[in-house]
Amino acid sequence: MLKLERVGMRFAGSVDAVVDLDLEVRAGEFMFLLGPSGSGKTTTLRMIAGFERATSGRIELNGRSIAEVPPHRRDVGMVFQRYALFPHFTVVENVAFGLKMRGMPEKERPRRVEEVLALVRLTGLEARFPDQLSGGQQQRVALARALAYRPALLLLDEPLANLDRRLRDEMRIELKRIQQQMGTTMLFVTHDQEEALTLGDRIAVMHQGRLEQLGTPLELYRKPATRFVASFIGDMNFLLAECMHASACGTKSTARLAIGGPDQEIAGRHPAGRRVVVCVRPERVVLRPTSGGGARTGVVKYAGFSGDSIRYAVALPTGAELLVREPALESKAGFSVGDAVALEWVDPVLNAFPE
Amino acid sequence: MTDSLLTRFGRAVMATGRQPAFLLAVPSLVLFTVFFLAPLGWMLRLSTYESGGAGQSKFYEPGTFTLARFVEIAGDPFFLKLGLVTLQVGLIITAVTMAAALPFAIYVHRAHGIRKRLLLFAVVLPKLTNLLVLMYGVLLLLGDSGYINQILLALGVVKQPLPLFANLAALVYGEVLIVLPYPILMLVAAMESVDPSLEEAARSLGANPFRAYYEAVLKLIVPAIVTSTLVTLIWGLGAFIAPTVLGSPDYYTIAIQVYSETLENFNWPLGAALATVYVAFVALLVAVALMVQGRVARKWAHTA
Repeated sequence: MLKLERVGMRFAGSVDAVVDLDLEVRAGEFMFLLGPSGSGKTTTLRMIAGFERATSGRIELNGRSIAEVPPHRRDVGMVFQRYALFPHFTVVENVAFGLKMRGMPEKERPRRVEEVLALVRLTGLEARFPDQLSGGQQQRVALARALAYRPALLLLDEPLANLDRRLRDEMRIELKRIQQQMGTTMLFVTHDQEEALTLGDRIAVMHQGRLEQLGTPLELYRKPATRFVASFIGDMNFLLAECMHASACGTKSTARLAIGGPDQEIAGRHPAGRRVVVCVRPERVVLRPTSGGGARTGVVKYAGFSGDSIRYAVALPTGAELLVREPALESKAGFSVGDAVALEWVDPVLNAFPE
Repeated sequence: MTDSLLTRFGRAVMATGRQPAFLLAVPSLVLFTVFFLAPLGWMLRLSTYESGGAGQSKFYEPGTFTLARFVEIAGDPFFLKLGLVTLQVGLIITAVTMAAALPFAIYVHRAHGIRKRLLLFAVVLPKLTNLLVLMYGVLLLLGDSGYINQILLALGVVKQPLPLFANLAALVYGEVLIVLPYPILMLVAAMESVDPSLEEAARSLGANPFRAYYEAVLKLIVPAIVTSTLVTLIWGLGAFIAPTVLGSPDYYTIAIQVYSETLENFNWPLGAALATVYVAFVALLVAVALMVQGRVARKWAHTA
């Protein structure tokens, strides 16, 4: 549906904002562009909307290059970070604006406006002006306005960033519902990995203008392709290790962890002698009581109860710190600060990246 | 006790029980009262004295009270014509100024970086010159032996110098030069305060660039357009230097007449009465404009 081929953006006298970006969004998909600020995700969105012109590459919408198509003729809707509602228009006038500009006959507009306002649950607020609405309501108007003329693709630029946490959670669920109900293809830009993980069908992780990885939330979480993705998506521990040898089949290697213990199998083919970082998720670590000393042990430095789980920080002999999250079970006594613990992990094979 | 002066001052202020913020307005209020309200009151009183005897040996007759000057102004067709000419000159100046200011303000608003700063500097540049110098500069350009006529004569295009000044066009040109920076600065300031993403939103919703600018920028600055037009009109109605230097007696304004009644004819009561009528008219104009401003803005936003 939307296809980006080797798209690049270079602002005069500055570093490349986007480099050789390949991306394909499928019809009906809820796709996320995730990255820290300055990763090029907003620039990418603005190129798709037509507000910035790509300096290289090709952008296709429904099989047609849109490089020469001005924003108002692209079949693309956009929800802005600060909503960008017209302050001099009422809710109805805001929502009907796109219909009017796209030449829908005046008689047909009210029905469509009513429909889309019902979809975002704003019925009853038609005559209000934006400054008479709460942040969440303004967000809904912005969404309704962009959806009213049924664009092929809806772009969302951090639309929830200005809402408080409770409202944000509510709007996330609403967005997912609306997306499923309308079947609109959506491309959502965010720096909030939790948002992308909970809502996205697929996520494109961007870093310094480049695409780091494209995959489902599960793929990104379980099989991060780069060290950046591993550290950006969820919490991650990186353990220093040295690679011993690659296995015969070529998809696994063996490494010796700096904290000792038996040889550890790691994913990927790494040359012997290379220093690598081995990835362990906090919730994949199991702590066992120990008398202290020996390989793969540490001392609890911090223990924090957070309802359904307990978070620990374990000081390792190497000086590093390991984050651990264990379910808070009634059957199991927790550890206290100062306890010596032995470390194990659930997964036999761990991800690893060159140091 | 070694309280600083400021501390003691602060305590004294708090003791009055007033909002200290009120103090911020004091310098302005003092200036306004001493240099505007008091002279205004004096002008009102002055307009009700008898004129000072035959040959105007005195500026006015102290101790008298009469509304005769107002009756004189109301009854004499000369003053009616004076008022109409002033109104005509003011309206033409306003129309020309705003017709130039709005497009230029849009141009400045659309510009970026160093170009925008240069444009804004160019706008205020004439304000760095004394008004009278500015007017004589125009005269240097338009006069019988001015640059334009010299070039035309040298080229043989004309045999006699063209009458480029001492007419309505020259007067309007001169006054527009004086007034133009004000509406431009007001309009640009208003445009800059509009969230730029509104225009992008309008574009993404299907508006072409012109429509988007109109709907998402211009409609929002209607109050500023009204206000800047009003400011321009007040300048235009009060035009004095440009009509004096560049105009002809056919286009002498009330301001010029007030000047000549007080400083040439020494008939202070008549000059004051004329000024009073003028001030009352302008005040009425401002009041009406401010009252309809909001309604105009709202109506404009929702139609077209």
